[in-house]
Amino acid sequence: MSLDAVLQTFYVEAQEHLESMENVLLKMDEGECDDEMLNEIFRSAHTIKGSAGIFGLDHIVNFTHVVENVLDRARDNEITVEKALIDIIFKCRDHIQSLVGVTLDEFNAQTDLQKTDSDLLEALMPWASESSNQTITEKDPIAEITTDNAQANEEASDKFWHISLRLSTDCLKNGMDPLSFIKFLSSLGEIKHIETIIDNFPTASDYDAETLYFAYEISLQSDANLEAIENTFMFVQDDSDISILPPSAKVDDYLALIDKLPEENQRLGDILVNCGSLTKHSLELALISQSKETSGSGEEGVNHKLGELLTEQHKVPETVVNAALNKQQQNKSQSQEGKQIRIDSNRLDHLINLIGELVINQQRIDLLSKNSKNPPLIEAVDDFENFTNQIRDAALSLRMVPIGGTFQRFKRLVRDTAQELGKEVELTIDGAETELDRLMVEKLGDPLTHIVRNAMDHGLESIEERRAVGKSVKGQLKLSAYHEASHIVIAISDDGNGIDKERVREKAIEKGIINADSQLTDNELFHLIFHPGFSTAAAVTNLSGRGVGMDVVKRNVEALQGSIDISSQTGVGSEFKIRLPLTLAIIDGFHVEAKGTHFIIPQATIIECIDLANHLDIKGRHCINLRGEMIPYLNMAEIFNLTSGDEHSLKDTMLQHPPKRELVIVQFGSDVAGIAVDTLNGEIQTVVKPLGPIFKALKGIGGSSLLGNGDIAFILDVPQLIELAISNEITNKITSDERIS
Amino acid sequence: MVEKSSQFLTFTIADEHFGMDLHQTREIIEYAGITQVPLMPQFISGVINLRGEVVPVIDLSVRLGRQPITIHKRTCVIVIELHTSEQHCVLGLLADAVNEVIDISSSNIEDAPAFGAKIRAEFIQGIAKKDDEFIVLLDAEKTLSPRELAHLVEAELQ
Repeated sequence: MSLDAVLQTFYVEAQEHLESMENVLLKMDEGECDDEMLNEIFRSAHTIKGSAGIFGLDHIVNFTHVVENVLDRARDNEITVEKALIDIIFKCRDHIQSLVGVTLDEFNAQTDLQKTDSDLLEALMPWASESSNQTITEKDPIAEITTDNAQANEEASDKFWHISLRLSTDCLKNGMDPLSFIKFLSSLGEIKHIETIIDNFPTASDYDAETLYFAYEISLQSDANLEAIENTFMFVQDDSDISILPPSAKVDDYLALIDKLPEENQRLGDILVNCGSLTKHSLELALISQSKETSGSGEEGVNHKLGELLTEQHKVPETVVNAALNKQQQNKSQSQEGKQIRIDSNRLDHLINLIGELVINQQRIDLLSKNSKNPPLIEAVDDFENFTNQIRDAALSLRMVPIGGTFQRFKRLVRDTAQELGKEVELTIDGAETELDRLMVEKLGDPLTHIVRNAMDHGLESIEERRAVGKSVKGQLKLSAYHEASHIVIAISDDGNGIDKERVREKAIEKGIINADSQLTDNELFHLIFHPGFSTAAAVTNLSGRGVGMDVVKRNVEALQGSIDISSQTGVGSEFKIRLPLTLAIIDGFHVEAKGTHFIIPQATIIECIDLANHLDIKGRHCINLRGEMIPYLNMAEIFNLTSGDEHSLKDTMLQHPPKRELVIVQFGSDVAGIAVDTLNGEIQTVVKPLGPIFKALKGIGGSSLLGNGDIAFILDVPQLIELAISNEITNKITSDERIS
Repeated sequence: MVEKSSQFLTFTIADEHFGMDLHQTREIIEYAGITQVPLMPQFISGVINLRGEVVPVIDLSVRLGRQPITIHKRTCVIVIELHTSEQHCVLGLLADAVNEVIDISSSNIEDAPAFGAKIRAEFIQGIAKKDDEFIVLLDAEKTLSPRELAHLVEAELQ
């Protein structure tokens, strides 16, 4: 693994920790607060700091260290968690996020970042100030554990941690530089002494530049706890031999260490003395007493003694060890909850593309087998089809992610926006587990942000206004997601003032979007807010009101083959409903033909198919009477100006299948309409192939698709098609009106 | 001085010879029918299925301001690949015949005449002479810029 790859892992993990910090902070902001939550944020901050230290990202380490201290104090109930503290921690979290985004050099170059850094550190001071004096004597877990050993405790402040590092010889090859660990250690405290053991250094001929030959004995003066020091070596602890002795360790512990290490005992003893970890006197005494016992009771005695020493060594920091173990188990159980693996999204897309090809090929085989009229073959191909569909569904489900993650982000947005606007807003989330295509989730972020901000800015009233009309002071905002037929609906609703129809109308007239005498339904009126350049906010606020936004929302949603509905009631509230298809890559469609051109109508939009001949047109209009309801229809050949391109072949097909007029009844949102086509060819599964940038302006066709025989079919975009029919009608009417006058 | 020479694929449309930088061409396939796209301007002949990829096909003749190409049994489609700054784009071009790949040294390429070529000057990269015939070397990126084609489609639809 190269260092870059490791760094990448660091960024991803840091991001995850920051997210979990945010989630916990949001819960705390709502008034929940327990030890576990504090532990969780602390752990996150701590891990970020630890990992950053390994990479020498000092700017992150220095800042996070202070935050961690404050959190540690909160964890130990030294300071109470109050609103002001949560606010500042929120800001710190954001700052860490920006710190993670820049390298040390970039940080040194950016004065604004440095300023935030120092401002926040300043702001943290009231909570952090006493910590440095108190931790050693009162709150350091190590110190607590050893309080029963009063003597040791007294010595704690002037004795040092002793760390003996026998890093794996491959450590350089794995991209770990021992120097960075030592550098990081110095951020935890002061390194008093380092002895480098060069016993293993080979002769020049055997020397390999990528092998680590050094071992280190380090003496460290630090207030950090064992866990923090251990975490320094998190990345290498698996294949290295690392012993850490607390400041309170007894001479016996050192002896055990000396015995454990590969180097010769006397030499090690000297090294430890050099480090200042042991005094010469105590070492001599200990070694003498040990050798006495050895000579006295023979081999067994040594083993016995060593065993005892080792247990003792473990006994001292037992609680610490337990705490560390617990932590590890917690981490494990967390990761097991969601048993996830990370996959590069490109690989996933590649898989989905391949499966798309598989589906097409499967249809081709299907066609050939049916033509062959060979029953066993047809049966085998049927089985094959079954599996292909299962593979397709399984592959598509890989791309599905719950929308909860996206919703979660809004908690923070809502909180900050509410603060900025001086409003009180409660956000409820419903249906967070609803899954949709990852691509859509990514593209939904912006439109949702705009709608939520608009709802908070324009929809919800100020505290005074709400009180005046007798509503509860706290505005309600609700984000929900649910399935509806083969669509997913994401609804954003508020209990604010609703859309002011008159204001919208006035504004639209003022901006020249509609004529002063236009008669519009409520729905049409609401949709005016999606018009580019439309904004009713009296003053341009920081949040919304620039008149860009809602048109972007509509465009983004339409780009996802979705639609937006608005319902609003004055004084009661508004609701925006975004309706989206389940997936974008493969759709179930209905294959139809008009004048020899193949079209696919998305199955989800179809209600039924009827024979047009059995239903009489309502006098001269493109409307039919379907069970008492008047339904308008459009003619595909007309709307797409289709002419039979190749006369000869068309005649052949006409002879075989004389065109009937079939009508496919489709529904989208609340609109019902018919589409008249020549032939119905049945259900088909198709892979959506975008038509490319050249055809972007083409309305009514959302993409293309390959049929089993290799022909190309066009996938209809039903809402756009209906829009196209309406606009054609209007232009026709205008031209005919002009002709009359 | 070393002369720089580049390779061009030459082809014929209605007795006129054209050349295109070989690096931009991907393959040449036989014309085997085309699916018309509704409501498109004349220079877009339609789309073809190129091994699972839906590729738009341009009638270069119309694009260069001439009569639409007449389809016959030797008509072929030159598949080109454009790498513009925005995206990479695959297009097919209809041609009556594909001739050969030739090396043309830069000294043998003359600037396009200011007028008289009956082709918008910016489409022409230069004019080369071979065996007493002129070959119009087209600048594919200008002639077939996806952005401009998209604008033309949009204009047609309105």
